[in-house]
Order: sequence, then structure tokens, then C-alpha cells
Amino acid sequence: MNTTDMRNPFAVQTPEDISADDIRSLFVDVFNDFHNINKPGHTFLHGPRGSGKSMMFRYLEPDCQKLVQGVGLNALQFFAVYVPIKNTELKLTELQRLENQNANIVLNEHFLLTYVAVRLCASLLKAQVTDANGEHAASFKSYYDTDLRRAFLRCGWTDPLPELPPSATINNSFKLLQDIFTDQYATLLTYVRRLAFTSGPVTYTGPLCGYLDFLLPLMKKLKEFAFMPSGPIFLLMDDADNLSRVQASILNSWVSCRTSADVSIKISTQLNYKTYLTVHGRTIDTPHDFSQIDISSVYTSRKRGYHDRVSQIVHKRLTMYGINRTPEEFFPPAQEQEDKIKAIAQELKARWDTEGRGFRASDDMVRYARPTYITSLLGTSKSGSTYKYAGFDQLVHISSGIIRYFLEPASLMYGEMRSRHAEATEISPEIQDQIVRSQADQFLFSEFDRWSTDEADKEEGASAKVLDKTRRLRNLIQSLGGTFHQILRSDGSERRVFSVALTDEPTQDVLEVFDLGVQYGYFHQSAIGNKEGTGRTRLYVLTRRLAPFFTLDPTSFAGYKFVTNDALREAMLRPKTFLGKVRRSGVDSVLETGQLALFEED
Amino acid sequence: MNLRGKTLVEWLAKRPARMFPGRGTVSYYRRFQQIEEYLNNNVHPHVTAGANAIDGGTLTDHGPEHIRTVIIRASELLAAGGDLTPYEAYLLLVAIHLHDVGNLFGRDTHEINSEEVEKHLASAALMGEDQVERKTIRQIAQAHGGSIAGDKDKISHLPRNEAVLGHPVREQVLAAILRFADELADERSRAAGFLLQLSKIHPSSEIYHKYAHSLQSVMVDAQGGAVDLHFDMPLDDACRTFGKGDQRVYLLDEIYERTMKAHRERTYCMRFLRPQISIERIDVEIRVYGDDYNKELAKIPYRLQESGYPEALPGGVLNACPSLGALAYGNPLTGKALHEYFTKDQANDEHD
Amino acid sequence: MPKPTKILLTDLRGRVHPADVFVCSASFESRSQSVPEQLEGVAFTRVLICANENFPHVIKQGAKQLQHRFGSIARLVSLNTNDPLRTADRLQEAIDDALRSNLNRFLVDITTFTHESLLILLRIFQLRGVDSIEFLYTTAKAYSIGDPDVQKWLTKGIGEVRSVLGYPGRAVPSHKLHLIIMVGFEADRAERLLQEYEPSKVSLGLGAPDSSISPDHYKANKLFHQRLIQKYANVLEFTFSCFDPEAARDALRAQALRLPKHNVLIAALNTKISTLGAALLALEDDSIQLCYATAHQYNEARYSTPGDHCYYFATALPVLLPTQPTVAP
Repeated sequence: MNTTDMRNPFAVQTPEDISADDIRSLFVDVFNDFHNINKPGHTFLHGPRGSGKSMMFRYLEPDCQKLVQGVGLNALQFFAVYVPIKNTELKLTELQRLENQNANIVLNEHFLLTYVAVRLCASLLKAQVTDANGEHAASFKSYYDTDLRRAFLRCGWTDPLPELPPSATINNSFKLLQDIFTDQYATLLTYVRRLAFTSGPVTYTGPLCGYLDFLLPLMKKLKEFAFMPSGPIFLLMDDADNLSRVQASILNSWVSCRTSADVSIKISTQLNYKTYLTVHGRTIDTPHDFSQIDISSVYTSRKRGYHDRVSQIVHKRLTMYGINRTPEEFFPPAQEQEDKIKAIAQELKARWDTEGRGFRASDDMVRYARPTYITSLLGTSKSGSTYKYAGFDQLVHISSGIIRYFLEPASLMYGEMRSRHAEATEISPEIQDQIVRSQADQFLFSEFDRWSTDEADKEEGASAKVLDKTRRLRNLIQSLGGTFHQILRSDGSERRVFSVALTDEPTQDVLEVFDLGVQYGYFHQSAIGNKEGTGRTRLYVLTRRLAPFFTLDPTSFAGYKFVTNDALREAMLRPKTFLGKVRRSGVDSVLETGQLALFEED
Repeated sequence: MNLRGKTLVEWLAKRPARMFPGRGTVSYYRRFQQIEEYLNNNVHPHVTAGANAIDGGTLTDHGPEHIRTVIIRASELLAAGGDLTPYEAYLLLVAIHLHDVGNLFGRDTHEINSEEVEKHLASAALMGEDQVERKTIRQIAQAHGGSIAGDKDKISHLPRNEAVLGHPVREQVLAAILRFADELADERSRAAGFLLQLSKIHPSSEIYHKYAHSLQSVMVDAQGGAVDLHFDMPLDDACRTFGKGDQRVYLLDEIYERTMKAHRERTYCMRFLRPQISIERIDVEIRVYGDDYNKELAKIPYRLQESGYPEALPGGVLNACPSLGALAYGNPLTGKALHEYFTKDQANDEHD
Repeated sequence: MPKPTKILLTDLRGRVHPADVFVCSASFESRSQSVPEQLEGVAFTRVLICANENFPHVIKQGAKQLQHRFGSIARLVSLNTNDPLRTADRLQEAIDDALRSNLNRFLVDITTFTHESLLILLRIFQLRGVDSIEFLYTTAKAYSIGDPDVQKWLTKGIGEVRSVLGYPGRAVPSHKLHLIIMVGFEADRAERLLQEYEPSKVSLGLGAPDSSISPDHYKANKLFHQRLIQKYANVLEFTFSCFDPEAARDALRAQALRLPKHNVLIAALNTKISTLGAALLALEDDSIQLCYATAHQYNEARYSTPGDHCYYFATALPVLLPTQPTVAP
């Protein structure tokens, strides 16, 4: 690991900066869950920030693959080119001047392509091609002096191209090519600069390269060289949400080309990709044009896959830091609390024969022990804060399927422990609980101002027009979180509810608020069979990162409630009234009849 | 646009300069005239000879006359319902002029080999300095033939709408007009008539000249949505074969093949041109005549159009849509396969 | 250039130099009226009142009030926080119109401009070669009135993050990203930017202790820094002046130079004076990109209370680089 990270085994680093050695040590193979990523074919990989997309891409790069597989470059199955797309790197405000004015598509394509070409050369350099007898350099020079020069000329290159000296090594050659593209990128930025304060079209006199007439032939040719793997080149476009709409449509046009055998494009997004239209006016669709993976959907299912992944990741990190504990040992639960919960579970087991509700005694134990314990702490006063959100399992659940939301709090916990003790061989339950609660708080109030009673009263009854989307989202979260808390305290059959499913067609205003919530990470969207059994309806799962804020049991989100559109609107506009009704009249009378999951999680 | 019997060039001449980029500071018609003059004097007359020198055959005419014919055909297509802007007309006309100059370097991939000629035009300051405009012209011209990344559907890869120097340009429409007009520009004048008479055509190219020579007229009825092709062939030509590459073929068979191609091109290009331009059929009439031209020995008429109830594709949906294989990892996704898929995975799905 | 001078607002009228054009920005903040109130009646030829048309209540109240102060010499310049091109075009029109009328001396109250529109304005001044510009900035007595230090907020949420028009930078695609954030007390906002960009290196700038609003603020910021250092690898720290643009520029320059072969991106989240410092650096070194993040919500009701002082200063904008083409008005 980089010496700068000796401070904290859970410190977040951008994967770009992690060496191949460290990646090999840290990475947990997830490709069984995401099997299309490392296979030929265009793929979209969707997932919130921190769900591990960039890490997967980094792992696919040649330097990592060579180490992992223990083979040379040309024995790999593919050659991956990592293309990170930082916000505002390609999506420059100046480029908006081109819209409906001049060459929006062709200039943006050239811009995007030049960027990718630089990264392609960077990947070739990073791959450290060996060329003992100069054979690769010679064949590259032959290509450069003929076909590649011709291709540049066809794209309108008028400046003389640099000569590749006969003595140039293969890596010198890649460097020269990279410099050509880097200079071109800089020239383009000079043109872009001119757009800023000019309202009319600005003449462009530089070359213009397109994917089909330049980049694709270049990559196909590179693939043919003996030092390259025989499989396709993968373009790993990371965080493609950061492309502008026209740039996304250009990328889609690349995807629409049936080139998978030569070039496969892997695109990661944070669920905010601008469009699936191409520049030709068609859409790209799955599965015709690409396959698609949503990490959230994979990891919010019943399977223990995510738990095991986190366990492996944590174990690797602890090992690298010389901490010889299992994840469960390093993040111990509040033992006294767990003992009490176990005792309640035993009581439930004993009473199951006569009073049991679940199909099996173990169902009742799992379903009711922890909620009963939490409720017992609450009593008539709100002392639920003595419940401890601690223990590896709980922390995994709270992270809601996104690895970063485990690692970030873990890094803070470690920092806090180290500030109090010389060494940290475990994180005390108190610190775990403290950090998790403050993170929940921060997560919620980074977007919303705190609900003061005065303001809440003022806003009650305000129309949807007056209350903007953000405030309605805040109200919705407050209403649903509060409702789920009431369910936990109730005598209901399923007390661990985190989701609502719609009984009727949602109106646009309700959908927009949920969409915003999904975008911010407060909700995950899924689908479920409708009540009538005639089709499917939307299901929204509240993130368990907010469990500490609303005092909920994060260890399961199996239960869900059906809810009408009207009820949701009420929740968005009048959260206080809504919650008051829930408390007085019961959840079901306000929402819909509840539903149970049939079987418990293993 | 109302061409009123004029060609596109004549129509362009009358458009006010303010309707072009530069707000009247650049005369695009004059620019076109200069390009045309340069190419007609320095390039087009040598294209055929240049191709022959490299490929060794005898190419049909690709010189100034051919360019004129393509412009006329394009004008005829636009006569009924076309509505190009003046700037689009300029781009189309320059693209027409450039579309075959790559033959100077050989027939193979000629559609993408125009850059040397463009460079000369650029250095003579004839093309304007904006690269976007030049690339637009180049893309329109190159879409008239060949393939890109193994795909013959080049027009679909062009932007549908793109602003160039502040003016909207429908590249797909322009490329389709050029392509179809070029397809219809084969006619008698393209044949090297004199060489045919003297039997001096290279054996591998005989059929092409014979075909062109037999195409007596091409009539575009844009209003009626039809193209009429009239072929005349003397009895002698009907009764012998002609060289085509290293084979020998009958003229009638070549006419069938070439008119079938015209039908495919029509079907393809109309996809991008409807509803403005809608040519729905090609009517063909082939006449065989004896020693006396007026003595008709046989008349072979036929119509090429999409008609009747569409035939079922062999293999059905599963064969026609390979993407269905992706859902079942390469295996046919039949009803049985779907049943097995759900039955196997039912227990694992939490919400279902 | 002499350092910015802190003067009592009530002394401003007697101290300010003659100017042809006074430029100010209407806002929901009452600070937007502080300097104009003192300058009402001063012999400007023209007053440009910038107001964001997508905040209609600001136009109705703040801008109207300013228009009333300055009467017939006032002109409304409609900006739009959702449309930076429109903002740039309107500002450019207004400045060009003034220059065509031989109005060359500008006095700008930068207090309540958005960071983005202020940066665009400065770029326009540079492109036009305007060399007589003086600036005013009203201090705040308090921010997020009534909230404890650790809960103070000015904005909530991040909407769009975009590059500032005129400061696209000159990124080298093969280089890594060095994000420099000039943090105010909106620590959450800074962290959100960090999450948004995921830079290789991040430099967190703290307002220098002697220029912080209060010692408690400085302490709270320091704590935030520590938290981020625990959470993220590769976090560097530096301090900058909140009230001296040239000193702020120098601090930023030094910080940028610490990491050669990185693409530098600066997010200015502190005072407008320090934002001016970021502009000075980016105007002289066009490899640096400036970014701006719109907010979902503003603490309109309790944003700030005006202080009794303002800073008054001039600063020379860097000469246009050869790579910066001039555009005639």
C-alpha cells in the first residue's frame, strides 16, 4: 500500500492511484456477479458512487491483469484502456455555444475521441511492452509512416506530423503518438476558449477525427500487433454521467456499432446518464446493442453475496495493515445488547408453539427479537438512542449494498479509535454507534435544512407548487422514516419495513420526487408484483444508512407496504399531519394493507 | 424550394448571400463556381484515365459529364417535394463534384480517397477554411458507396441534423440524394461509345460499357413517385456474352442485376428521404431490336417495387433477431427455455 | 497594488474615487443594499444592477429597491444562475455598451454576486482590456443567523457542477487531477465536491486564522479538515487570505505548484475577495480551470447580517495571454 495510507486501512483512495500490486492484494473478484464486464460486448454498469465500479475497471487494466494472471501482455484475454471522465473535464461550459450553432456533434466527437486517444496511448505506455529485438518498434514505425499518416491526413491534419526516428523504441513510439494527441487536445481547448464570449459560429480550422474513420481503425490496427492480446480492446469509460448530452449521444453512436470482437465499450454510470439516443436519432437498447448491470439491484437482493464481499474486502485490508483480526472481531457488536436480543429470541422460540406467527420458530426469532428490544428501550420516551448500531453485520446492512458506505464510516471509526488509543485492534461499539449516527445525520442534512418546528408548521398545507421538489423529498423521507419507525414499534407481523410499493399509477410530481431521492441515494428503485397479481409496480427502498436516524432495525428490508399515490402526496406536503394520523389510526389505515415476506433471510 | 425546371446550380445562383453562413460576406455560389471550374479543368477529365492506369480496366465515364448528370438527377428528385436550404444545396453540389475524384487513385475505396484533391482545393483557397464544413461535404460524398467498419449502411452513421456555421444541415438527406442520383446517373453517355464500336474496351470492363450504352433513357417522375428506365439492345448484343472481370455474362442478366441494385438503392435511400421525396417504384423496359432500329423483336417490361404481403423471414424471430441469443447466453430463447429459466431461479428472487 | 483597505461603510462616500459605472448585484441578502445605500447620489454616469431572473422575488424586491435608489441612470442586467451563457451575454452587452459610450472607469460591489457571475465579469473585463476597476466588498457580521457554529449553512445540496465560462483550463488528459477547494464554513459542500470529482489529490484551503469570521469558525473548520484527512488519502492543507485577493492568488499559486504534472481545478467557496484571487491566478495561468456548483437551496431567510465595514481596493487584471484571442465589442 502507498506509504501515505499507513494512517488508515479504510481510507478512500481513487483506484487510479492504487498500484497494480495493491490492487491485486485488495481486490475481491466480483465478476461472478457481474459476468458481462470482463467479456467481449458493450456493457453499461450502473451503480451509485462508491459501489466499486472504478475499482473493477482498475482491476481490468493490463498491469493488474498481468500480475493477477501471471502472464505476459499478449497472453491476456483483452486490453483494457481506462478512460476516467471527471466532471467538467470534457463537459466544458463553452461547448454549450455549439448547440444548434455549429458542429456540435463533429467537434464534440473530435474532443472526446482525442481524449480517449491520449488515454489509449497512456495505457500502452503503462503496459510496458517489452521489445528486446526491436521487432514491435519496426512494425509500428511501418504503420505510422504509411497508414496512420494517411489516416491523419484524411482527417484534415495539415501540420507536419513528427518523424518517428528509426532508433525509436516501441515505448518512444507510443509517447510520440500520445504527444500528437495531447497537442491536438490542447489546440482544441484553444478553440473552445474562443467560444466563451462569442455568440455566433466560430470558424474551426483544425483536423476532425471521427470514431469510424479514425479511432476504430486505429484500435483495430493496434490489436493486430504481436505484443497485444488477441481479444478485444476494452474502452472503460468511467462515470459517463459526466459527459454532456451530445457527448453521451456520440458515445452511444460508438456503442451502436457492432464492433465487440475488436472494441468493446464498458460504460459506468451513477444512474444519471443523460440519454440513450445516438446522433443518428436512434436509441441504443439492451440487449441488442449492450448488456446492462445495476449493482444496486444485484446487492439489494436477498443473497448474502454483498455481505461476503465486504467481509473479504475488510479482511484483505486488515491483513495488509498487519491487523490480525477477522472483520467480526475488528467490529464487535455491543455484546450486552446482543445477549439481551438473544434472550428475547429464546423467549420467542419457547412461545412459538402457542403464540408463534411465523412459519418456523426461527422466523419469529429473526423477525421480532431485535425490534422488540429496540421498542423496549423506547418505552414511552424517546430513549431509542441507547440502541447501539454496532457489529460487523449491522454495519454491512447499514451500508446498503455500497461498499464506500462501509469504508468511509470505518475510516472515521479507525481515526477516532487511534485518536484515543495508541493502537486499534478493534473498534469499540460506542465509537461505531457514534460514527454511524453522525453519518446518518450528515447524510440527511447535507441536502436538507433541519426541520425546525416553526418552519414545519409554516410549510404544512403549502401547495405542491410552493414547496419545491427538495422540500417535498425531505418531507417524504421524514414521513416514511417515521412510519417505518411506527411499524417497528407496532405489533405487526413484519416490523422491519423499509420499502413502499405503489398500488396505483403514480403522478408525475410524486415520481419526480422519488427520482430525486434515488439520484441522491436516499432510495433505491426496484419493482415488485402488484397487489392484483396482474403485473408489476414500482418499489422504493429507503436506504438503511438512515436507520440510525429513524431508529430502525437495519438487518432486514424484506418487508414492504403498499401505498397509494394520494397517501404519498400527503406525506410530501403535510408530513406532520401524515405522521400524526399514522400514530393515531395505525399504519395500514393511512397506507394500504401490509404484506409479508414469506421467508427470512439466511 | 421550387426548382421550376431549373437545376440545383441554377437555383443556387439566385439565392441571396444572406441565406448562407457569413451573413452575406461570402458568396457561396461564387465559391461553388470556382470549385466547379477548378475540378472540371484539372481533375474530372483525368479521373477515368487515372483509374484505368491503376486498375487496368476501362472505367465508364466519371468525368465532367457524369457530374453534370448526377446534378441533373438530384435536381429531378428534388423537383416535386424537396426543400433544401440554399446552404444545403451548396454542400450537396460540392459533394457531388467530389464524390468520385478518389477514382484517380483506383476504384477500390475510391469513395474515401478524395483528400489529396481536397488538399489542392484548400491550398488554392477554394474550399473555405472551416474544417467542419469540409468534413460535412466529405462525409456526404463518401456515403455514396463502400462500407464503414464492415457496414454498408453508411448513411445511418451520419448525423441526422447538425448545425454547421449556424445553419441546420441534414446530412443523411443530402447523402441519400447524392447516392440515389449517382445510381440513376448511368446512361448512354457514360459508355465509351467509340471504343465500343472499335472493340477497344478492356475485356474485363466490356459489360459495364454495354450496360451504360444500352440505357437509352432515365426519367425521374418525382411527382408520380417513379423512375423509368428504358434499355435498348440490338439482337447481336442479346445473343452474346461480354467480359465482366474474369467472367462472361449476358447483357440481359447484367441489366437484371443492375436494376435490382437500383431497386435496393431506392429502398435504402428512400428511408432517409421520405416524406419529402418518395420514389416508390422503378419501371424497366428492355427492347430488343433487329437490323432496323424500329423493328422491335422483343419487349421485356417489369416493375421493381415493394409489393404483396411480406414474406415470413426464414427461422422466424429467433433467426431475425440475434440479440435474443444474448438473453439466453447464445441458446435459442424458446418458450421452454423461458419456463426453465423462471423455474430454476424462482426460489432466489426475494421480491417475487 | 496597495492592500485592500477596510473602511467604515459610513465613510465610504467620502473615500471612493470617481467612477463612470457602478456595478452591483441584487440579492436576497441585505448586504446587497449596504454599499449602494452609501453611494446613492454619487455622480456615476451609469449603474448596472445585476439580478438573477430565475429568482423573481429578488428582482421584485432587491433589484427594484436598487433601481429606486439610482433612478434613471440605473439599468437592469438580467442574469440567470441556470444559464451561464445568458449571464455572459448579458454582462458582455452591458459592459460593451458602456465602453462604446466611453465609460471606462468601473466600480464594482462584488459582495452579493454569485461566484460564477463575478468570475465571468472579470473575464469580460480582461478581454476588453478594462484597466480601471475598483472593488468593494461588504463584510458580514454573522452568517446563518441564529444557528450554532457547527450547524451553520448558507446553501444545501449541490445541483449542477460546471466549469466557469471563460476558465476552461488546459487539462492534459494523461495527467491526474489536483482539486483545490477554498473552503468556507460549508464543509459539507466541500466534501460533496470532493465526492463529485474524486481527485487524485485534494488541497483544502482554510481561511487564515486572522481573517476568519470567528475563532470558533476556524476551530470548526480545522476539525472538518481532520475528519477529511481521516476519510480520504492524499489530502493537503493550506491557508489563504479571505480579504486580500493578491495574497489569496499567491497562496493558490504556491499550492498548485506543489504538485506539478497535475491538472489543477479550483473551487472557490469562501469570500468573493478570495474568489477574485482565484480569478487572478486563472487569468494569468490558463491551464487552471475554475468550477462552480449550483445549490438546491439557499438559506434566504437567515443568510447573513451586514457588517459595518467594507473592503475597498483595486487590483490589476493580468494581461491577456497570446492564447486568449480578443474579441472586439
